[in-house]
Amino acid sequence: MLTAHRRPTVGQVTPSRAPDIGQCTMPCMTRDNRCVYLHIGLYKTGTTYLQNLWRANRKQLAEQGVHYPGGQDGPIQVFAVSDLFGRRPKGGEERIEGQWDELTAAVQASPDPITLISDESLSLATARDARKAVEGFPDHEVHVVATVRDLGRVLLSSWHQAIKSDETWTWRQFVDGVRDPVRRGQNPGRSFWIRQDLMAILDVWQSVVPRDRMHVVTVPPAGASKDVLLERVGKVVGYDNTPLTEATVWDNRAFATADAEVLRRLNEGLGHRLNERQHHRVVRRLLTRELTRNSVAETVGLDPDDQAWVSAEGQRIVDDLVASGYEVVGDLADLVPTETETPRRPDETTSDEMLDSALRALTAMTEEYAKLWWEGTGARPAAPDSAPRHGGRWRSRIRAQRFRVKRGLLRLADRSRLAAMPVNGYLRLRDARRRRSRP
Amino acid sequence: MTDRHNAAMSAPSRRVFLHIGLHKTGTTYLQGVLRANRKRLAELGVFYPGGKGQPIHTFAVYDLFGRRPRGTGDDRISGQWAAMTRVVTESELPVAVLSEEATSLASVSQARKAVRSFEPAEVHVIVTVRDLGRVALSAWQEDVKTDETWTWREYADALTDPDARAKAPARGFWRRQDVPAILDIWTQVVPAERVHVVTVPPAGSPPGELSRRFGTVIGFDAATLDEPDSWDNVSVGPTGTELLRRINQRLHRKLNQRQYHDVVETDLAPILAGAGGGSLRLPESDREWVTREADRITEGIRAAGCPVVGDLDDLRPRFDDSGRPPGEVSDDELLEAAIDSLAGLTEQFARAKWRRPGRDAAAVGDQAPGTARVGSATRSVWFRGKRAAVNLADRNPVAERALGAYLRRRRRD
Repeated sequence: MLTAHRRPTVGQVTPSRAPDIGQCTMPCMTRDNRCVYLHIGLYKTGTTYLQNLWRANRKQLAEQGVHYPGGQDGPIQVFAVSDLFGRRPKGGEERIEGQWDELTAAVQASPDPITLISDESLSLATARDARKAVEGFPDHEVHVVATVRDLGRVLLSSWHQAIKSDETWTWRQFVDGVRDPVRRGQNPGRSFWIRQDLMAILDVWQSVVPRDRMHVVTVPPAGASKDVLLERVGKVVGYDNTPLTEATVWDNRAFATADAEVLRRLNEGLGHRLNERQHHRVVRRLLTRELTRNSVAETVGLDPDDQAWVSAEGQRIVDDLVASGYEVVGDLADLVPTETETPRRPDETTSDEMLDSALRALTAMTEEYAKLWWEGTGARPAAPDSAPRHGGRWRSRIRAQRFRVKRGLLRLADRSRLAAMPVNGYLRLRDARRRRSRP
Repeated sequence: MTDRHNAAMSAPSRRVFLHIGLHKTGTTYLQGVLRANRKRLAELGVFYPGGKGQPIHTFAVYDLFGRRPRGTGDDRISGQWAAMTRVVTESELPVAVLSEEATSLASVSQARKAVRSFEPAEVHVIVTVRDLGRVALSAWQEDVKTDETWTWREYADALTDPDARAKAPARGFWRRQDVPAILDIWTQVVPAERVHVVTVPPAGSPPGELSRRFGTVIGFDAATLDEPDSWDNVSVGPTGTELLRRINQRLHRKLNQRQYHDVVETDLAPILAGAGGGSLRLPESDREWVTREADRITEGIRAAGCPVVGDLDDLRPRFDDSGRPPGEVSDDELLEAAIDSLAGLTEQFARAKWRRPGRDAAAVGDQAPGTARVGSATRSVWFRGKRAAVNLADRNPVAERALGAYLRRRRRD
């Protein structure tokens, strides 16, 4: 559709413009050329995949001189960034405090020439936050890496994310909110654009980082190998991705359309009565994982009008990027989605599918709840005060053994014809005897 | 033992009433009445064991049979029958009542053991009996509430198939509901005139009629007793029952009996009771066999020669066209009930989990120097202020316009 403006791959083009040193507010006194790469997201651009891989391959990265902070007893990157921003997830305050200083100290102490820090919430930084972030690494040359993905897939993924975060917008409400320029100050538009307005986000960071240390990496289109993204970021940061072979435990998986709608309705039912962390643990982790465990990837697509809008927005981003002169790794055309013929819209589902999904979730929840109760109280019932301590107990146990054997036999009869025969015979005999004994 | 004990033993006028069920005949209601009026009954000379430090009727009977809930330890059960007989024998009241529907499952030797435990007291047996149509539906629902997966059709077909009698669900059902067979067992261990059949009044009878009949047997006037606050088993309608059945299919008996009971009875059933969908009624195709079996039961009671309180005609199944046959529920109704249940359970799960301590990693911040903690705390207050402002914009149009303007400016900068 809107591919006329498609540009050839830009690849690792060093921008022709000289770095704007005048705007650089940081003390550029790097020793030994030590560098920190801040991967700032954006949201929904494969960050979980990348972070999981980097986490799993910390050792392999270190062998290449790349420090990925964290691990056993190390600072937790996401908490550090929360601390930098002053953000406290409701219900988890105590884990955040002091984490940013921990992180900068760990980076300072690291012998590796390169440090990679990745947290998509860095894309939410104000100029002040960004300056504080850069000032956290006075002995390093700070680079910014932004991964960018086509807006159509980001839109769908953001809707799913909103549902995972206790929101109740329908797909239509979500897309309309995002598309309406007048409603930028109101959700869902606000949360979307605060995370996805690429040029505004890059502007913030380039106010504290020289232009030639700003890097944009495009996410390959659907169907491409995920390694491509890992490789592209590697080109910027300076690692070879081939030795990063350690597999990750878990990855974000896409929802089926029915799953999304069931969770959306669940949120309606929950009415925001869970706090942020309760919702996160129970809905995002437990239920989402259960629902997506065996889900088959569905092809969903936008309706033509949304698709046209997404393509136009994508093209605008490409034009802005080209004009900005930031280094781009990957194909800019990846950001201008082409129309796909899909049978299904993101909110198209049936009662049948939803019922299946709801039952799966409900079964999992029933099981989890029962186990929780069991751990807590169920497994340790108190003996009644009036139960005799001696004497009666062993007779009671003998009765228990006999009962168990009988129940075992009867259960066997339920499954096996052969075992059922004597039971049947016994019952008939009993009935017959009873009939005879009556007058 | 003690003098008091001996005195009680020698009291020839002591009578013990064993209310043995049957299942699904209003036992929960009757037990509620007895429990709510324990003090009043004692004033009338009737001892109903229970309460703090006393043995539990169900556990006592489980112990008599040697039964243990599946997958659990036996700490609560062991010794309860002995404790029950002791408190009854030591009681100074002339009459004692025990009520537990599982008692109806006793074999002759178990029944005999139960009766002998109270010697030399005069033991009476009370059997409450209800119309088979209502009992059968109710029993099927109860099965579904205890982790079974059969549909009503499968269930009813099994009950009427003579070759299926040795297998679940027919075996369990007829063991609980074959009234003539049960009377046959108990009349072998106590004289027939001490086995009292109480019929459950049909739907639409005045409230309290069942407890009135029950009291007549024991010798107290139920009109002087309080009705219990809440006595009914939570009634789960056609939608809730079908939903539960489908959950059971997926659970594959992964939970033990007590785990299942805790979640389903305590948490899910009340939510499902709100799912509505009306009441259950017997499908037309089942009327014939239900009537035939009910007649056989009525005949059996007559033949056994036991005294009857209430009207034997109460046991004749009454059919009407209100309510819905089991299983006739649409996907949309099930979906709505499923999501309601999911929301209710999720909320309770989160709350239960939240109460549990030790789930969070220790804060590293505790080791941070004082200045760093002050900085961290300041940022936190700042962030909270911003979040509050932004949330305000979602509700308030003035705040929204202001924020919109700010964001547009930021975007241009």
